[in-house]
Amino acid sequence: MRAWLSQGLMLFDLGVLAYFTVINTLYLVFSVVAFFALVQHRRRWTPRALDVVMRSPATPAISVIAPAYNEEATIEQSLRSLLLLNYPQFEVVVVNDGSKDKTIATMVAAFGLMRAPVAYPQPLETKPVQQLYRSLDNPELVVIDKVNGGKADAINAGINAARYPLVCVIDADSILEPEALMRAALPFVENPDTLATGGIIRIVNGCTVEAGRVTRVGLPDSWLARFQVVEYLRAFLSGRVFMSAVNALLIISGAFGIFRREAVIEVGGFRHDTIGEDMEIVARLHRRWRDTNRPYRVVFQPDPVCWTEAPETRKILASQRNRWQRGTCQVLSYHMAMMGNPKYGSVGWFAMPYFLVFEAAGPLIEVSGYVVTVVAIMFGLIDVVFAQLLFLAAVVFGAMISLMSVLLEEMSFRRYPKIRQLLWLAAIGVIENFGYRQLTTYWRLRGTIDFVRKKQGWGVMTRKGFAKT
Amino acid sequence: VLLSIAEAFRSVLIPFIFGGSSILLLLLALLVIQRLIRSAMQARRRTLVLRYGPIIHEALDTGSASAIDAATRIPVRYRRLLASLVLAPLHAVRGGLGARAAELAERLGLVEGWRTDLRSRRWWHRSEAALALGLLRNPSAVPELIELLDDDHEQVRAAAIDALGQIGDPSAVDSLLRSMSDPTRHERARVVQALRSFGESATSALLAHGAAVPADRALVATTLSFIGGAAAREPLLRWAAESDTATRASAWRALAAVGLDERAFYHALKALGDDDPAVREAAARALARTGRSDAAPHLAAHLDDQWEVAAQSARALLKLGPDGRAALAARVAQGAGLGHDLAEQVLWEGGRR
Repeated sequence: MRAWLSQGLMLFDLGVLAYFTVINTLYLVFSVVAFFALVQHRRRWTPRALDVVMRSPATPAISVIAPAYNEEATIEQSLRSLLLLNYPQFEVVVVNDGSKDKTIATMVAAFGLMRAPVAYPQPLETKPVQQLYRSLDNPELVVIDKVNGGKADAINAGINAARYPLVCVIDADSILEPEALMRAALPFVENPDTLATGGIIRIVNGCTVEAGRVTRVGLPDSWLARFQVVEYLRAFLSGRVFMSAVNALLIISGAFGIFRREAVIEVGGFRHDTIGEDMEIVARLHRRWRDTNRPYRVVFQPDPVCWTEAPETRKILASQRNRWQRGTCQVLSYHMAMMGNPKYGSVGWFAMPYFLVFEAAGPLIEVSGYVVTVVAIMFGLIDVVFAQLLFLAAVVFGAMISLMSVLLEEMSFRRYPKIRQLLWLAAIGVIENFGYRQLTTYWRLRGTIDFVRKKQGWGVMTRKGFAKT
Repeated sequence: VLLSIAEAFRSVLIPFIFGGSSILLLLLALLVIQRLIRSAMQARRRTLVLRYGPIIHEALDTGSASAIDAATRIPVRYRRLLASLVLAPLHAVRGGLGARAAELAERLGLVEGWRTDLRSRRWWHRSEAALALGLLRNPSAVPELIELLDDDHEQVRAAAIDALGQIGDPSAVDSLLRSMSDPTRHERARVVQALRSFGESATSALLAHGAAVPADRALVATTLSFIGGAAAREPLLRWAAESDTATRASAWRALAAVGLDERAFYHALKALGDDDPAVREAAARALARTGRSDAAPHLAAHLDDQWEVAAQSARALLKLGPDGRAALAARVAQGAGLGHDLAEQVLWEGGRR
């Protein structure tokens, strides 16, 4: 009996080892492909090439949609930063989603907003729009005040009000760099089949923000936020660059993405009943365009930067990761028909199975791998070599991948100017594999369990405001 | 069997991880060395600034022949450093310093170098040279700087605009106006800033350009709304009666900025009845700035006009004092409608202030 149990546990451990080896090897491949893609991207989009795009009459105008809910502390600064974006033609549509604080009053006072009639077609169904405001001082600014309906509903209300062919969806509390819109819009200029693009999200904690702009890039004081810096570099510079290269990008971050307005309206807008609405809309776009056999692209651009505040407490971070995990599971369940289906190209045979195995089921495999190995060794059921292997494949190999992401950043965009920061990032990349990644895996596992138990809700994200960063 | 698979796996994984980590650490070391070299170069520059800075500053402060001679003995290989030392004070101070800096730059051979750099194939050399010649207010460089307004590179065009603004030669106004048609707002703002530094000479040159090129009148009027003086009022009033709606609207926006005299005031009242809402809106904005209470009934009649006109009229009425407020209150009392909402809002805002 004991021998059978021992055999079974060793077999299980080998499976977990295979899992860790495959995911880390995949990330290794992602990083290598991303390196060449980033080099090519930088060579191609020189300042001169960008300038040609900026001067081109073909450059499409953009409506920037900023859903806001209880953003009284940061809304004025965020909007001033948005209105200073460097782009030939754009408008900013703020959607106040039934805030309970003074978000609307703050905007009315700061931007001289005046009530205006709601006289535009509303192809997407949303909660009622109570009032439209326009600014006499900033004609590009439009504010919609509507009944609370959640972020997706607010985005849909913004899409209804948008005048331009492209809509840029951002979080009202994030900071876009002045060139971000231009760089993110490049794929639309380059190829009219582009449906959506997303930019890189970077952590603003530790940076100096003045007048709505990041003026000095620094590392956060909080260790949790520091780990997230490297985590974001790994996810964006390796993962999304690769997925974009094979047209299998499934996520465009809700904090910064540009969509073709007509395409979003065609698929019915953002879904209200999911907490992963940013991933869901991209999956639906892939699905609709593959179903109707039309050429299309969904692109990740690595250089347009959106700075966002990362959670610095375990409670809030746990809630965020739980929400992301539930969102991923929801989206996979909605679009299970695409799973492994060759009709959906690289999304069907690669991206969807990848998300199922490594994102949805991954936490369960990882946590059970750690627990089973420790318990089995304690009871002498498996050889200690399995623990060594698990440590090498999960932790040391993982640290290598994190270090590689830091080097990718250094060789491409080099946003952290000091040598000390580079060395810190490299060290954080190694350290995060000793505890932090296991902790996030545990939170994700709780998210999967909550998804199975059909738990709803967004959790709480308390913001400090940029003035204190 | 399972244990032997694990052993085999370990025999592959350990060398792989060891080799991979070594390569990554080596790469990290190389990147750190690269950064250290850059830091060393910056430190070297700081040392040179400490060594040669005082010599250049003395030459700029005193302008004495001996100080300039000492400066000319600095090795030519430090030309870029010398250029930055000569130009740095000009960003903040002018007066006699400008003339001394120009003379010193000439003696050091810097001016000749910059003029050559204006045709460099490297955009950053062209940009730096344009900025330097602008800071020195070198009028002989104006024709070459005008050519750079059509440069392929945005930074070079921006530098040329700034430089022409610094030099302030009226012959550049036409070319600057042409470059305003560029779609990037950044560049338009730069041109306006440059023209502003021209002062009154720009106003007359702009008006002359508008008179000669009717197609550019809307653009000229927009520019005058930022920099125009009282001298612009008369021509703007003429343009405000033109058939082209864009010109009329731009002219009223400029008149709002320049200010209305008695005659212009009555023209503004008349413009409230214009067919084009952009013109009516601009006229309402212009009337708001007069503060004259006799405009109140005319503006009140537009509280239910198109939104832009109505909103601008409501805000104008608030600025006209008790008569304006009374007109707003009367509209609120009349009941529902766009005018009611706007009047109610501005009265509420007025009460808060």
